[in-house]
Amino acid sequence: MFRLSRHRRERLILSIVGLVLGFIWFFPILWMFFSSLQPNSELLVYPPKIIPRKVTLENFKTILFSGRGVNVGRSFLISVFLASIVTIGVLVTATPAAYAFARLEFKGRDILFWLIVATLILPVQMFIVPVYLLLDRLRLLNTFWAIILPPIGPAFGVFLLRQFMLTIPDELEDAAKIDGCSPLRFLVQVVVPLMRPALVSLAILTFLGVWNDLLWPMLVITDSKLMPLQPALARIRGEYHGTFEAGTIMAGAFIAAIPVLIIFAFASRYIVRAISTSGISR
Amino acid sequence: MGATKKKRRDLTALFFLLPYMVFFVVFILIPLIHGLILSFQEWSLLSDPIFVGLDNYIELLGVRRFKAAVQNTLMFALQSVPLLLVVPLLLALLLNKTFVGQKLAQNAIISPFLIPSSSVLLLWIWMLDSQTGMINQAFKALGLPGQAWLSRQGSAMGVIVFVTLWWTAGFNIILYLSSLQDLPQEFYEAAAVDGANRWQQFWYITLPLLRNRMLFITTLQVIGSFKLFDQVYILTGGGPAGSTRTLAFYLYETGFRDFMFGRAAAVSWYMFLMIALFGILQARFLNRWLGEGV
Repeated sequence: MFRLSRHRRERLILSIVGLVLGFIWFFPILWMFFSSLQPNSELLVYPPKIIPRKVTLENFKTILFSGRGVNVGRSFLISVFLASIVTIGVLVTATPAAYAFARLEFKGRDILFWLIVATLILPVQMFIVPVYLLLDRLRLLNTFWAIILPPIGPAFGVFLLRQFMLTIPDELEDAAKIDGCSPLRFLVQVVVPLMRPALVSLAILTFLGVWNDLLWPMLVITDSKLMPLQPALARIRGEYHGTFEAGTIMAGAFIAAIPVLIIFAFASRYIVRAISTSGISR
Repeated sequence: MGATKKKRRDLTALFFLLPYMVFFVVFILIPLIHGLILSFQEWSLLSDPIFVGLDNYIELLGVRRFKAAVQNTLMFALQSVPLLLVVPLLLALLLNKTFVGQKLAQNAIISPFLIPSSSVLLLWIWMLDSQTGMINQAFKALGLPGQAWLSRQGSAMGVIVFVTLWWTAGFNIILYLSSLQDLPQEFYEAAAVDGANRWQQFWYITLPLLRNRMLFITTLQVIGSFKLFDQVYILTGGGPAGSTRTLAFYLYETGFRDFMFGRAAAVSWYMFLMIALFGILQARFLNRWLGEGV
C-alpha cells in the first residue's frame, strides 16, 4: 500500500480538519443564501432541503421592490451613499491630523494625541444621549447629517494613519525641506501616495462601520423614507411573518451581507492589516 | 529656535489639525462633558432639566431592572470573554499551519465578523426557529427534542453568547494570527534541539509570548460586553423575563423609550466606572498574576 510520509499525512489531516471546520463555520451563511433562493413554502418542508429544489428570485423581488413598511432597495442605496460620504469625511480630516501628530513639532503634541486616542476606549453608549440631544438642538434629527457628521469624531482614523506615518523614513522629509517643499505639498505629493495601503484600510473599515451600524441610525432616523439598511432590516422582522416568509427575510439579510462579502473577497488583506497593526476597531 | 519660527510652526500644525479637531470637540469632547452634566440632572421631554446632584446615581441602585442589567452584563462577560479568548486562539493555531485549503478555511471562519448585525441576527432567528429552524430540524433528525431557544429563560443568554462567538471570533483570530506570525522561529528551533515536544513548545514558548495579545483581547472583550446591544435588541428584546436585558439595552430603554435622559446618562457613567474599575484591577492583579509583560 502507498504510504504517506509522516509529514504529508499530517498535512492531509490538517487540510481535512481545516476545511471541515471552515465549512461548518460558514454553513449558516450558505444557508441564508440557499433559503433566500427558495419559495417560502419550500422552507416549511421536513426534512429541510439543503440544496434548493426550486430556485426563484421572487424573494429578492418582494423585499427590494414591494416594500412592506420599509423599502429595502431604497435603504440599500441610502446606506451606500451615507457610508461613502462618511468615508470621504474621515479620510479628508484624519489624514492631515495624523500627519501633524506624526511629523510636525508643536507644543503639547503627544499629550493631545494620547488624550484623543484615550477616548477610543469609551463605549459608544457614553455619547449617544448627549449627541442625540445636540443634533435635536441643531434640528438635524431625521436628516442624513445626523448619520454623516458624528462618525468623523472618533480618533480611530487619526490613530491608525499616524502609526503608519511613523514608519515613513525621516530622510525623505529632510530632502523635501531642502528642496523648499511646503508641509502641505509634502503631505499631498509624498506622504499620501506612500500611505495608499493604510488609506485603503481605513476607507474599508470606515465604510463597513457605517454600513453595519444599527443603534445610531435607528435612534436618529425614524422617517422610513430616509432609513438606512440596518434599521430597515431590523424592522422587517415585524413586517413579515417570521417562519412563513423566512425566504423573503433571508433575501433581505443576504442583500445587506453581499457588499461586505464582496469587499472581503477583494480586500481581505487590507482589513487584516488594519486590524493587526492598530489592534483597535469597532 | 526663534519665537516667530515657533509661532509659525504651531500655526502650521493648527492648520492641519483644525478640520479634525472641530469634529472631535463637537462630537466627542462636548458630548462627554454634557453627558456628565446630564447625569446630575433630571430631564424628560416634559420638563426643563433640573439639577438633582447624585440622585440619578443613587436612585439607580434601587432600580431592580438596573441591578438585573448589571448582573446580566457581567454574566455575559463571564461566559463570552473566556470563550472569545480560547476558541479563536485554537482556531488561529490551526490556521497558522501550512496546508492545502488553508486560505479557504481562514476566509470561511473569519468573514462572518464583517457581516452586519441585522443580517447575522435575522439569520440566527431563522436557524433557531422552534418549528422549522435548521437547528431544531437537525435535533429532530437525531431524535432529540427541539427547543424554544430564544424564549426560554435558561437558554436565551446562552444563545446570545453562542451567536456572538460565531459572529466575532474572526476578529480575534486576525489579532492572534498576526502575533503568531511574529513569533521568533529561533526559540522553537532551540527548543526542538533541547528535545522539547510540541505541547511543551506551546506551553513554554507560544503561550507566554502571546500573553500581551491575550490581555489586549480580554480588555477589548470586556469593553465589548458593556456595549452588547444589537444581539439583545434583535434576538430577544431583553426577554424572556428580562433575563437578557444588558446595561446597554437598559440605557437604550431608559433614554429612548422612557425619555429619561438624565438617568440614561447616569447609566452610561456607571458603565464607564465599571470599565475603569476593570482596567485598574487588570493593571493591579491580572498583569501581576500573569507575570510582567514581555
